Amino acid sequence: MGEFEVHRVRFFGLVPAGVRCLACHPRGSRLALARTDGAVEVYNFAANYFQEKVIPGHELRTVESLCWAAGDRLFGAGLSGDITEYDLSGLSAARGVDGGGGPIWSMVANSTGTQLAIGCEDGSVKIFQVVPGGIQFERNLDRRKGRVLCLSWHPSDTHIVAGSIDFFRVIDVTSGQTVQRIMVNHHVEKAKRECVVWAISLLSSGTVVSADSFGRVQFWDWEQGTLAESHTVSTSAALSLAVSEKEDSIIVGTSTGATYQLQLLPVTLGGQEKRWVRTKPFQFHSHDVRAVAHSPTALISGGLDAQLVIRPLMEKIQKKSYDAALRKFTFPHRRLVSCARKARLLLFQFSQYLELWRLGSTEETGKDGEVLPLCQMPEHLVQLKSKGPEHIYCSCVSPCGTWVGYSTASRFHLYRVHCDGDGVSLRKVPKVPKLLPPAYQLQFSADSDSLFVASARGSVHVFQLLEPGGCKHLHTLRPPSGVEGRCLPFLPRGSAQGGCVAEVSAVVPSVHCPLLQHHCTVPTYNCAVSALAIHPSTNNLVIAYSDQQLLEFSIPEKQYTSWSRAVQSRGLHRAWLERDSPITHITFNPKNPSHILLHDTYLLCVLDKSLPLPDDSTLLMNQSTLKQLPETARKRQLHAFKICKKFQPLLFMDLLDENCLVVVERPIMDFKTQLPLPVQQKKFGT
Amino acid sequence: MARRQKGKAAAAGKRRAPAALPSPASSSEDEADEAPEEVPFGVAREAAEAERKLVGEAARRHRELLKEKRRRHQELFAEQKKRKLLPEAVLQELQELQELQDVSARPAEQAVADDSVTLDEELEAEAVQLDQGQAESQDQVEVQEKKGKKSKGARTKGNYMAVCLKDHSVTGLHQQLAKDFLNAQLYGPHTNRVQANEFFSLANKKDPVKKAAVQFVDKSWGKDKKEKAERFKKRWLATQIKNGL
Repeated sequence: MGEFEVHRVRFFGLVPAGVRCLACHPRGSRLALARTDGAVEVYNFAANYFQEKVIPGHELRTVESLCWAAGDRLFGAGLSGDITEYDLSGLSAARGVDGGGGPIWSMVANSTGTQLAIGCEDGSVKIFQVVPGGIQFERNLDRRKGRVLCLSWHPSDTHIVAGSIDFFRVIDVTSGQTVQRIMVNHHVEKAKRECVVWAISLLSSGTVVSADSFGRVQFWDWEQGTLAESHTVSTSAALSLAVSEKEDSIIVGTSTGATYQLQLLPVTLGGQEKRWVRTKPFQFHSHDVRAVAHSPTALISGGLDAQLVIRPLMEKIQKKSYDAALRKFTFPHRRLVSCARKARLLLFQFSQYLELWRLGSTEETGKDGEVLPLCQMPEHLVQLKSKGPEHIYCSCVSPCGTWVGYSTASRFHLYRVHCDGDGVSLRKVPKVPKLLPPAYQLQFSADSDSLFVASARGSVHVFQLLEPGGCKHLHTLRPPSGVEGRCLPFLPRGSAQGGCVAEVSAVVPSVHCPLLQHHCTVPTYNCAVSALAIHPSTNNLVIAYSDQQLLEFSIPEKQYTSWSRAVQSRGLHRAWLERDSPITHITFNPKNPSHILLHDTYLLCVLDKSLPLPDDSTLLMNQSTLKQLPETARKRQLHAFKICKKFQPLLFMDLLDENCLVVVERPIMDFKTQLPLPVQQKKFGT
Repeated sequence: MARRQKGKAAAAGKRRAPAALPSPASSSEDEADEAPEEVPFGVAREAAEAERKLVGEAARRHRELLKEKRRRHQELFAEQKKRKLLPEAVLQELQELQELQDVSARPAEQAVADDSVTLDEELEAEAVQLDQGQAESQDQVEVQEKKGKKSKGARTKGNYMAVCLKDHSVTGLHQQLAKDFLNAQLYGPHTNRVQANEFFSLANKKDPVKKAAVQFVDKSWGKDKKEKAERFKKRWLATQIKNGL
């Protein structure tokens, strides 16, 4: 196989933003997530919880609440006072309507998805109608003093409960009047501070569930105005609440990072009387859990430590499969790092700036596992701040290291980089043609001659890069007409002949190679694509899907390769299929066409197509055992998947040259100390 | 009060005056029946004058005393102020420096003054006056400029802040209030928050193999010393290279 000199990079200072809101799609197949920096992501449950879509944030946009309405439309509202609709096919924040009540604290859709209710800073609850073009103001409900922090519709859409500070009120929707006002802290004599009702829910039985800042989950009968049950789940605040559709299970998230499940259970076995009982405590997060959601089969929580945790409920899982495993997602499912192989430069993409680093070098050699001293330290060359309040979508550096491009929601920028001796200079390329924004992906060709920009509606623009610093639009590739509107273009690496681009939507991957005069469509697959690459010499397209399947498609022959067919008929190893994170990057060894290098968050793998495939009975990660075996025994046990789990969590891996790898890691403890303060945990003996 | 005193004194004087004269033996009842006594004008006048003089002296002495006090206080303040200022020599140097600056600035000013003057006669006269007056007003201007420059040099930190109005619109204020509320509720004094180092080091403490805290070394220790050392190193290397060449 060979020895590699590994550049182990840990100076990528990525601090992922915390999770602020979660919204489960009513039909339960997708999850929308909003982060504290305004970015919105959509996860697909069916495709192994793959992060399908990402809409980058905006400096002025904070999202306090997300909801799905009218089928597949996603709406968000925040402290800026606007209600924004997110265009999921165009991956941008579309129309924004001013709520008219100051900062909006919460927004919920009714059961049919035709109306949106928003709770504002001034204490008003407003109803908006969801119409095909956007949303329209319908009317104001009764306004009382005190900001409305949380809202909930009754399943029959007759009443709305609005939680505020020290009280909550129930409003009759048809008349718009407050029919009941309940003080949450009334029975406590000496309340030293105000009680903030952080989350509230109205059940069909007429029970109101409230989570407040004293760590209590309380069940009220709103018609009588009485407290039915009170559970103190935590000493710090209970920040979020979600009720399952069947209304027999509630998940509560607290400030300490613990989440609790409360279930409605019969008091005696087989009896009629039911009570709410706190059943399962979980401590998955280290920071505040500000967002929880309850899907039919799982408890989902998102914390300010940037983790999304999906905990399937065992009693709801029908068959025993990897679906029952706990999932934790911290890092995005896409690349944030680009590498200029020849120049040994790395480009790091942050939300509002880019950093260009040069790798260090060493002149010594060593044995397996040794750490070699550096003769030249890695150098931070340039920090390029993006102009404007919008966050960066995508970025790329050319293989020669002289061109850097990035795109925001409205503009695409291209820069020329000059490294002369000690100094580095960046010059903006003028007169970059304006394309239909946004650009989803950027890719430079292998000879740094042309730039491919994948943009809206599946079109790919080809630019020619001119010396000393200019660019000219050559032409635009458009997908076949049947696929328009659903394309999320993906550009594979390794387009050596300058013309291979591939577009992929969740359903139909299609490959256009106009310069090679090829145009073919890869057969459909029902899962999202997580990574794509085209081999520079053999022109084979390797696709990794989000359900961990690997397929190889030969573009010249317009069919799957024989190796791919063998893999499909044999089936991939069970340990391979039961991985948590998707493959985010595929790359090749130019000298050896049978090698494919891939990585996901927890492992990197060199796939050798010439070796036999493993079956379920052999060990998949057998590198350590192979090292101890003698030569002859090793030959018998070798299989195609050579996996290394030494570098975790991986953000990027690439092959610099024959014997040199670069891996970019981001240890979790490195950024956890930069997050907001956590709540103290008293442990005995410390 | 002086008048009352004088009046009192006069009355006292008047009362005493009759006491100086031989008076018939009188009792209180008799005084009421009898006619008022006759006092010769001259005596009374003298007495009144004497009284006034006394009072006047007292008042003058009092005034002198106050003046003295005020003068002494003034001197004290002047002394303290002098002590606060820099020593004479340094002030002299600064003045010289400013003079030099003024000299370099003045030609520019003159040019400006010349340019701004139009060709009207009056204004010409003014210009002439300006040129003439330059010499006189030079000192004043100098003094003024120096004063101005001195005040600039003293850098009075004003109570103002320049902000961009766009950021401080009403929506911005609402948003800021909302964010402050959120911050106070989540991270306020009652929330029992703790530093990240303490929080994450608990696990290291409880481990069977005890480890150091997560941020055992505080990177900010001796930061300026480290920076100074870096700069020195750069400079030293540069000189070495130069000498080597």
